[in-house]
Amino acid sequence: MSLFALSHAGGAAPGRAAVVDQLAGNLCRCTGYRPIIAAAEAACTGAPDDAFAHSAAMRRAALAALGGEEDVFVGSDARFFAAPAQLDTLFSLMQRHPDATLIGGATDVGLWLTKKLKEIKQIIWLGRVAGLDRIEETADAVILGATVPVARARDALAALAPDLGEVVRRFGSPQVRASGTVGGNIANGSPIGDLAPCLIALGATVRLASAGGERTLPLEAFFLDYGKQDRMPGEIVRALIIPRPGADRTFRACKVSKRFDEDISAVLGAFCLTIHDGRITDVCIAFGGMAATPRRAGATEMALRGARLDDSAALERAIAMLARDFAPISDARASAAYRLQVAGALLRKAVMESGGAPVTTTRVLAAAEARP
Amino acid sequence: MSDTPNAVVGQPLPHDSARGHVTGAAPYIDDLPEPAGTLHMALVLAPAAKGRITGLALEACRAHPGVVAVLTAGDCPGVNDCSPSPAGGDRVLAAETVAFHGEAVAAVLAESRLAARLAARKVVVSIDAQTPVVDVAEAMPGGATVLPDYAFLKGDAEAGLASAPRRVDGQLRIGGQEHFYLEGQIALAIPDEAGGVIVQSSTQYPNEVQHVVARVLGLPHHAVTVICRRMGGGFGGKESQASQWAALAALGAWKTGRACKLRLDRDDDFILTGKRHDFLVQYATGFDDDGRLRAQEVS
Repeated sequence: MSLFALSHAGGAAPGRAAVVDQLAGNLCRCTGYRPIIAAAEAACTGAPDDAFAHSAAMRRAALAALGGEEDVFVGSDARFFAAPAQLDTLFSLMQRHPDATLIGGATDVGLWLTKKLKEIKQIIWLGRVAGLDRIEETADAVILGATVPVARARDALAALAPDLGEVVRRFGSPQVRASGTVGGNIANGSPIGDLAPCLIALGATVRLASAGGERTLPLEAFFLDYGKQDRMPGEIVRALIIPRPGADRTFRACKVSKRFDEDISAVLGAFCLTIHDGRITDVCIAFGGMAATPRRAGATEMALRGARLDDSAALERAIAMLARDFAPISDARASAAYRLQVAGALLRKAVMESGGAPVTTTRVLAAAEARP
Repeated sequence: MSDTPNAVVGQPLPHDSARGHVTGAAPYIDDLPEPAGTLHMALVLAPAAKGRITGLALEACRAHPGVVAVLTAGDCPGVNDCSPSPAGGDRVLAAETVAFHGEAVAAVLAESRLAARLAARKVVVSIDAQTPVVDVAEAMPGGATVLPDYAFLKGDAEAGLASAPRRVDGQLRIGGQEHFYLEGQIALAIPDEAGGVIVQSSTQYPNEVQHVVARVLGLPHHAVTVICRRMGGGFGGKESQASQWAALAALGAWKTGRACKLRLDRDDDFILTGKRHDFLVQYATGFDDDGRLRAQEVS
């Protein structure tokens, strides 16, 4: 099914890397990746000539006919699926039904149904709200609307920093990225969501909106505690505002998970360093998987601020401060000690690279690719 | 010509299901049309790894809308054993004690799969929990084994090791693995006209499924028909492990006179099925100065 989608993605030969990306999350239990990849490279070229392609125009017209500006409400007040088309109708619906569950791509809430067998009686889908899926590029920021799917945000995020693009490449599977929204990844408050630490390190703010108006707060302040976000009744996450890192900043992010593809992070470290004349004049460090929420490493940042990039003693002192910032848990993904050790190693990597160390000395994959 | 073996051996002939598999047209058991009135089964899993079952509160489960029956070990008309081994010991439903975390304790039959799953979660299993042994190394000193020991022997390893000029000893661990068949464990049982049962089973071993279903229901083998058109991957995980779900579906069909389907949720499938289990390997190898092997003892 993944390859079928790739074959319909548009004409040009995708190349091996794109095929492998597309197949991420497909476990071949018969150990036959090589012929599958070869078959995909051969099949996914040129315009597909199949029943799906022949009916494309009809399907597009049918989907377009579903558009429009009217609100959708199916069911009764006690049990409904609603898809408001405007922000004001969304807010009035939320006022009438303060306990309704908001969904974006439902990649998280869907599991409440299929795995927890939870019954959700009132569902408000945000995907139809006009303007909420907008990507806005200004001179100094990228503004992602809450319902922008992660897949569609990829290019804009990758343009901000290559590592951010790489984090998004390993975010769920192509299917999850196509449905899952950037707003949902933030609003669900998961301590292991991949976007939050990256965006916190970049100094992003979150714009919340309700019938009463809007407010904007630093993203890190949005996460209050495990499962608890600073979102008031009647409020939605409307957009994420991500400032473009200036020329004096470096951004590094690294995701560590048991499996490389389609796995939940054990630790995700994100590092944004401001550098003047070889000195770290400012730094923002955020981690996922190290606490009950995505969180900044305040003491570590303080230890690093003002240090020279080549001051390895200062770097090691900063790494030691991670144990003051975080008391991670041991779970199925990693032990507490491993998490702390990895967090330190990621910080060391980020500082070394910011100081000019070639990635072939800091990254396994880059080193492997560089080998003749 | 096609009546001589050489005409087909070595030829690139397509798998007879290849077209169906690639186009998605090949039906797996969950795709088959369900007979009218098919009941769906969900299992109640033991909340402790070892202990004595002191209570099974079924009232809330029975009262759940759509529930038709709740089956426990005592409902097996035949033998409550789905083991592939003559030694027996694999219970279809746990009785009196639980042997592992997540062992099936009861089976809920309902008009829909969701109703069965929701109702199954309402069963309260009380267990007087004991400390389980969960590691091979921990089990060995106490002599706790699943099956009697057996050995493959050739020559005299002990003497060979004693006389070898050099020797290495060591141990290694091989982790357990999930088979990860593509189609999960599933069975659809339909009562037949003569008091027997027809079972669609995703299995690598249909005749063993037949024998186990007959044993559990107390029927002669001929009263049980097992059909397996395809199994959506097995990798060894549906050799002996498909029988339990077939037996449970058949038990549900036999009890109610209605078709009965049991499709394990993938998480439950992981929990309920065992092997490929993990290994602790201890070895002693005797060899000479040229590196030639003289003797080896592996346990």
